[in-house]
Order: sequence, then C-alpha cells, then structure tokens
Amino acid sequence: MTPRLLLGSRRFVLGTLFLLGVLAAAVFAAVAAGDPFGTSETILGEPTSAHPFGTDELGRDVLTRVLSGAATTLKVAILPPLVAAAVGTAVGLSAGYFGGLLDEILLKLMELTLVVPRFLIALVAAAFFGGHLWLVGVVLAATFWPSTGRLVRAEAISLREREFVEASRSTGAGSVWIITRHLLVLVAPVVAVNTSFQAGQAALIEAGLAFLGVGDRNLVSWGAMLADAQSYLGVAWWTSVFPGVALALMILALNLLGDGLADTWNVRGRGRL
Amino acid sequence: MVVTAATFVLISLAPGNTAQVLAGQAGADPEYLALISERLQLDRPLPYQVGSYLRAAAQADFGFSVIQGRPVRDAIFARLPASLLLAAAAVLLAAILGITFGVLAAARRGGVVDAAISVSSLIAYSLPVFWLGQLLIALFAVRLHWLPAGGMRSADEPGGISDVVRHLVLPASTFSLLLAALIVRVTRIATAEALAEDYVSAARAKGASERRVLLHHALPNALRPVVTVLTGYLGIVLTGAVLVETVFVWPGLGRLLYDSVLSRDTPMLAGLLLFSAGLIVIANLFADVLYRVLDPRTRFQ
Repeated sequence: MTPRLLLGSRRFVLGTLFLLGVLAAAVFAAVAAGDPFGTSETILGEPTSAHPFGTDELGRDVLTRVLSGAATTLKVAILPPLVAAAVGTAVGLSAGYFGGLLDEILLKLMELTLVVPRFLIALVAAAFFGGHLWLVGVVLAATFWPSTGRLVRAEAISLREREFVEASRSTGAGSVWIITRHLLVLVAPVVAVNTSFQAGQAALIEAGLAFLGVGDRNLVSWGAMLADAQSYLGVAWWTSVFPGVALALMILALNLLGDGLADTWNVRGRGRL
Repeated sequence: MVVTAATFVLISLAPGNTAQVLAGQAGADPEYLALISERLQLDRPLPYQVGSYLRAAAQADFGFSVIQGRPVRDAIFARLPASLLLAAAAVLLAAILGITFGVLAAARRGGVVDAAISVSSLIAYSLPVFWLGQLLIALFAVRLHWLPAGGMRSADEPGGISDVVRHLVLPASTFSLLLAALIVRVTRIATAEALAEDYVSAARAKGASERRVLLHHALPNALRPVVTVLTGYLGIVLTGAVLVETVFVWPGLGRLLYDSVLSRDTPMLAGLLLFSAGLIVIANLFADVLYRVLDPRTRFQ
C-alpha cells in the first residue's frame, strides 16, 4: 500500500504546487504586471526579451495576458464549485438522512441535469444574456450542486443505518447533532474529491465559452486568447501555445488534486463530473 | 417536455429575438419587425408558443427554422451523417486505445508501464479539446501539409471517401484522445478490481495462462463499468462536439447548435436540445442491452 499512498500524495502535492503557481501568477498580474489590454507596435512579434511570450495580433504582450488570465480562471474554478459543495452537501445530507419529499425532488433535479449537458446550458445562457463571469458562475453552481447532492445522498443513506448512528441516537442525540457531528465528517472526502474535479470542469467550461466567443469580453480569458490565436496558427505559434499550456496546467492541477485526494482517502467510485 | 419548455422560457427571457436577427442588427423599421413577429407568431403569449410547439412535436413536426430556411427536422438530418461519422470514428478509436492501455496498465499494476499509462492518460484528460485541435492543425496541416486543417471535403476537388477520411483524421483523433484517456482510467480500475476477485484466483488455480485470465475472465467483467461511464459521459461527447466541430469547421450538429444559439433560432435550438436529450435516452437503453450481453446475471432479472 505504501507506494500507492506515496503516489497519491505525490499527485496531491504536485497539483497543489501547480495551483499555487496559478495563484502566484494572478497575484503578480494584479500587483506588478502591465496592462493586459495595452498594445505595442510589434504585431505578432516572436518571443524576445522584451516580450518573453511574444505579442498577439494587436501587439498585446502575451505573457501579461496569460498572467492576468489566471485570475479569471481561478475565480470561476473556485467559487462555483465551493458554493455547489455547500448546497449539495446540505441538501444531500438531509435528503439521504430524512428521505421523503426532499429526496424525490433532489432525484428529479439530478435526472434533469443528466439529460441536458451543463456546457450547453452555460452556452445558451452566456449567448443570450452576455457571458458575464458571474452569470457563468451561477449556471455552474446551479448545475454542479445536484451531482454533489446525489453523491452525498448515497453516502448518507448507507451511513444512517450504521451502528454508531444508532448508538448516538440511543444516547439522546438529535438529528441535527448526528448530521453535523457524525455524517458531515464522513462525507467530506467524497465532497472534496468531487469538488476538485468540478473545479477542473469549471475552468474548462469557462475557457470553452470564451473560445466560442460568448465569454466575458471585459476580462482576459485563456479560452478567448486561444480563439484569437486560431487565425494565426501558421505564423504565430506562441499566441496559441502559451495560453494553452497555462489552461492545460490549471486543469491538470485540479485533476491531480482530485486524484491525490481520492487515492489518499480511498474514495471509491470517484464522483467525477 | 420540461427541456422544451425550459428552452423556450430561457430564450424568450433573453434580450433580442429572431425577428430582430432577421431584420438586421442596425435599427430595423418597427413596422417591419411587427410584421415578421406576426408571421412567426412571436407576438403570441409564451404558453401558446410552447403549447403549439409540443402539439406539433408529438407528431414529429419540429417546426420550421426561418434562419436555416427549411424545416428543423430536415436541417438536423442534413447534419446528422457528419456528426455520426465523427462521433463513431472517435468513439471506436477511443475504445480500442482506451481498453488496450487500460488492461495493460491493470496487468502491470504498480509497475513502470502502469505509471506511464496513468500519467499520460491524466495529462490527455486535462488537455482542452479545442487547444489540442489547434496544436494538431498547427503541426500536421500548417507545418507539415500532411492533412487538411478543416472542413469535411476539399473545396477545389471534392473527392470520394478518401477525401472525407483525410479530413476526418485530425478531428477524430482530437476527439478520441479525450475519450480514450477517460476509458483508460475506468478500464484500469475496473480490471484491477476484477483481477482481485475469487473467480480469477480460481481460474489461475485451474492453470489458466495469465493472458487467458486477463482477456477471458477479468476483461469481460471490467467492461460493465466502462459502458456505464461512457453512457454517463455522452453529454461530454455532445458538448465536445461543439468545440471540436468549431475548431475543425466540421459540418455537424454541434456547429449547427452553436450557430442557432448565435442567431436566436428558437425552433432550431429547441429541436436540437430535444434531439440530443432523446439521443441520451436512447444511449441509456442501448447501454442496458449491452449490460445483458456483458453480464449474464442480468439476463434473467
């Protein structure tokens, strides 16, 4: 078991390091880097010491833009999955523990989100209402929580029959006490794993929307940079490679994190996506 | 039904409608707008619109797309072959690659081969499809001139099957890499679990070769979760198609959906969403049939 645990924690460490790198980039961009929309005379300039990642078709510095895009991706990858984790855990625990009407509503919601892919919902919403980042965030949180809820519900149903819950109840513990003191801790690993994978998906969806041209035009997005780069693939590889690597590393970091957590805590079934 | 109603409500809440798109972006004559709205019954109340749509849809009439200039059904069926071709090629390639490497990794669990396969599948799984597509275009189309960058047929000399196949290689590879990475991950875990079962020990005790144990005893039992996961990921196949088809200008349903979103083509969009929801339901039925083939225990239930 030791090598597996080691590999697991190695993935976790690597993922965390990558994420900290993205965070550092976002902080650096906010504090020290130049204006991501500022232009220079060098259009589609190759990487030089002045522009280490080259410049794009409007003469904007690609490095500055990659750095400032980090904030966009972090916001969308962190907040909506966390909201979904909180709501999904709360609803899933009570639905699983109490059963009844709440349970049925949750299941119906779950089925609906299974039939219509959330990227399509986000695409339609972003195209029709303008792809403001908060709107994308709301759509993501709204479509993530039922899947978290379903996982938590399943855990709660199997846990509520266990002896220790019985024992706790026999000593006079109320439902709220049992849920918050006993069940919450035990479902936490599943939620954490699921949330890291959702975070990776959130980053991917934001970039995908921006790539399709329905993202937030006021923010720098790696996906939008890739869309701009599409026309210059033959002449300026750097406009595609650098934002692409950044995006891939971000998603890889979150998947590594999820894998690491799942291996370390031995979470089966991996509630992915 | 819920899907359709939700689509209509969402679309009608949004600023801008089909009439405005048809009339042109720059300030159209209000009378002209009203005329178009009346023609398309856009001035009727929303419940009426949804109701008449559902009545027609029940008779397999999905309305007329004014933007496309033909019935929604025709527009979908015109694009369907291209979509099916791309999806079938990608899923087939992904299944072959994914199951092969997944079983290989499980057989060599904990070794160098396993680590290499696990790490590369994790990386492949993390690559955004649209970026991967760009890289492949930059390399194989722009730099090496081996393969066309986009489209489904050559514009100058639209040839036969070989021409389409040449255009298919890059989008199908891009698409399949993501799916293959997913299948590797599931197959690896499922096969490793199957290998720990008693019937595998029994087969080994009987003197079956390691190869036979792997392919005849472990693999068939590992395929069940693979089918489950793949069906669950069908949504990804559909959404991935939007992005892949955009990068490679592939004339499929994903591209049609994207265009319909941009042009506020309500009937087209509703038809497409209904169609994709139907597709997912059918895929789930298909998966149930596959379970029966894969797992004899479920046949008698």
